[in-house]
Amino acid sequence: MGKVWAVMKRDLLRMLRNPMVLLSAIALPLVYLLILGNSLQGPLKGLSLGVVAQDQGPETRRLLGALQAVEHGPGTVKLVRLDDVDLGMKRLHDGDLAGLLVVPPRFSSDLERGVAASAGLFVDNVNAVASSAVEGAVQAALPAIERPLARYELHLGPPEVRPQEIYPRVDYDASLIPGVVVMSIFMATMIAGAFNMVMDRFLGVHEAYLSTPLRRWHINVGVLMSGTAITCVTSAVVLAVGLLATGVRVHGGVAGYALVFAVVVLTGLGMLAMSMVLLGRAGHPRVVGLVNGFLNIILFFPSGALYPIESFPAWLRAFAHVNPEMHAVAALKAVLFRGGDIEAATRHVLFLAGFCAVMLLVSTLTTKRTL
Amino acid sequence: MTAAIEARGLTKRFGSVTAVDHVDLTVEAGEFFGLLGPNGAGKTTLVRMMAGLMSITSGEARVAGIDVRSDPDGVRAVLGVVPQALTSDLDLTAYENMDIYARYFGVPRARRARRVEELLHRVGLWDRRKDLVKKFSGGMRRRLEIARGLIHKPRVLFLDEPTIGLDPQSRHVIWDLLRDLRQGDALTISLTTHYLDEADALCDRVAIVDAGRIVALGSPAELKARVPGSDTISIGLAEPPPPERLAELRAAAGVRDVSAEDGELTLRVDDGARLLPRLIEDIGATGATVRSASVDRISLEDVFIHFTGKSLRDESAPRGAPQGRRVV
Repeated sequence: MGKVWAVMKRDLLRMLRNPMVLLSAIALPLVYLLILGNSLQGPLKGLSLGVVAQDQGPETRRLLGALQAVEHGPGTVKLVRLDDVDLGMKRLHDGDLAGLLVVPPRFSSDLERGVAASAGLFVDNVNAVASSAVEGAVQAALPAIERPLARYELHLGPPEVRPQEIYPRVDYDASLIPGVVVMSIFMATMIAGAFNMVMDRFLGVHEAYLSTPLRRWHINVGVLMSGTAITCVTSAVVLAVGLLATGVRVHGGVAGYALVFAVVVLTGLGMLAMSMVLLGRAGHPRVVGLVNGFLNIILFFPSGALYPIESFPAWLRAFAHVNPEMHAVAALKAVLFRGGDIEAATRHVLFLAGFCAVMLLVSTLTTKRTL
Repeated sequence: MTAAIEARGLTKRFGSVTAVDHVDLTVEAGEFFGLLGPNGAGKTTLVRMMAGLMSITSGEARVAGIDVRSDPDGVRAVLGVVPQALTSDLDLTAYENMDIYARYFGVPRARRARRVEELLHRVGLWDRRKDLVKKFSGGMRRRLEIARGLIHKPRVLFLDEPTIGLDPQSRHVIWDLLRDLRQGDALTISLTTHYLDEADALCDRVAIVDAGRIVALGSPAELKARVPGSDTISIGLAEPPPPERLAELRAAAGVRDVSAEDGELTLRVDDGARLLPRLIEDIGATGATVRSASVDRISLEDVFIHFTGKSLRDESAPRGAPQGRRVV
């Protein structure tokens, strides 16, 4: 093991002497957390809804009052009072508004007389998600009106369904933690392992250590171990910051922490070894950067970190099930959000262990021992 | 006694290109051996095959009696290699570079620190042992890498263009270091170079490599002696010599050709240094006054041109490096 330790030490020292690279491996996933947390938040908020009230009757006031409640409550829409329909339509077309609600004259009196009344809701359906949210907000305000509308019929008295969440509420920001930790693991693999080997080859430095009695496995295991150590440090920092920022804690006591550690080590080692298999023989570091950038995307998005994999098409679902990042995310979710579901986490950890073993073996067999 | 380096029919092909072509070579233990040739001649490929860094297409290679093909690890254990590229780790200190390679070679802990210290002293870098190598000059890095190549007390040291890119002063420091190593250790050194003066100054024997083949092999003196009429004697006379005197000189032993321009005689001869006193004596006996005399001796450059038909001078020769004829 002395030779493996020497390979590991060399690799570690070289990375530690470049702290900016390490800091980037920590900071970038946290920036992702910040960007994703603020750009892809679950419920949409602050969508501008123009309102032209040409009627000042009680039903209109009730409708607007209900919309104000949505504005001040969930905050889905931000009401913009307008006097002119044409101006409202122009602003809608200009993209200033996500929707325009026009309440026509005699809206209240018609309703009071029992005549079917209608209000106009114009939505910018180029952005399907935003237009649906605006429609939903207006729908939510309709029950405030006691009489049926022609367009939006009010059905009073359907059976009420109250959803019950089986785990403590997970805020959107917190729900990103497993994905961001896995991303930090991947980013650490990008600056270690195969990258260092290819950089050595590119600079011609490898000729010196290939002239020593180091064996193939000494080189492979030493480089992978140093990469795993770096991975553990960077992902531990990212996880700690994520937990502190969101108030989430690791459940399951010692077993929970052990599983988190196992997930980080096995995912890091497995990804490093996979990178070595795919890129270890590349002739230029640019190739490693390019392919790793590609791998980061195709492994991260089908990991379930952002979207549930159940909604994927069948082929992508099949890919997700063999994607180590999916298992890492699932295991972390089990420990962080499912009250420390050790059994569920263990299943995913076992997959990661198998993946890791296979990649370690293949990378050792494919490591190039000659120039 | 087992030869330090042996090659029999050693060949390396890259597709349709033959980089090393049926090379036969024996380097005796303790020898300072030079592989001399231009860039692309196949020298580095030959060394890399010997070091087990590159697969052998055909033929056999042994280092310290160990077969390279069947026991590459055994060869690497007795071999020190200083590659052409600067290969020390810039982000490590000089000491760390040495220590890590000592571990690669399995040098026991008890001897490691002592060996590192001894070698760093030897190459004059002990005082800079804690400095990151990125602060070192090219010459210092090369000295460190030579020390690193010796960390496990190898029996054979391969140096691939050890002074390439260095200034003349650094080159001479490296030469002194190599001479010192040669005297201090029971070490066989194989030096790959395309600097003729380097091979001339350091090597016991030189193999001239061209297009993957060894075209000449011997000591620098032997190689020079194989080139007929390659020394030039210039003699300045007070008066132009008469034509019959030129004919007599042309017929003298060891003289290949004679020409005269005014009072300046130019003779192409086999061994100028030995012939010059006799020529001066003979010319003086005819009553002519000799005003000046010089011998322009053959260099390895001339030898190289003789054996390969082309010059070895190229753009990579360091400024100030003497490579042509030497005037004595």
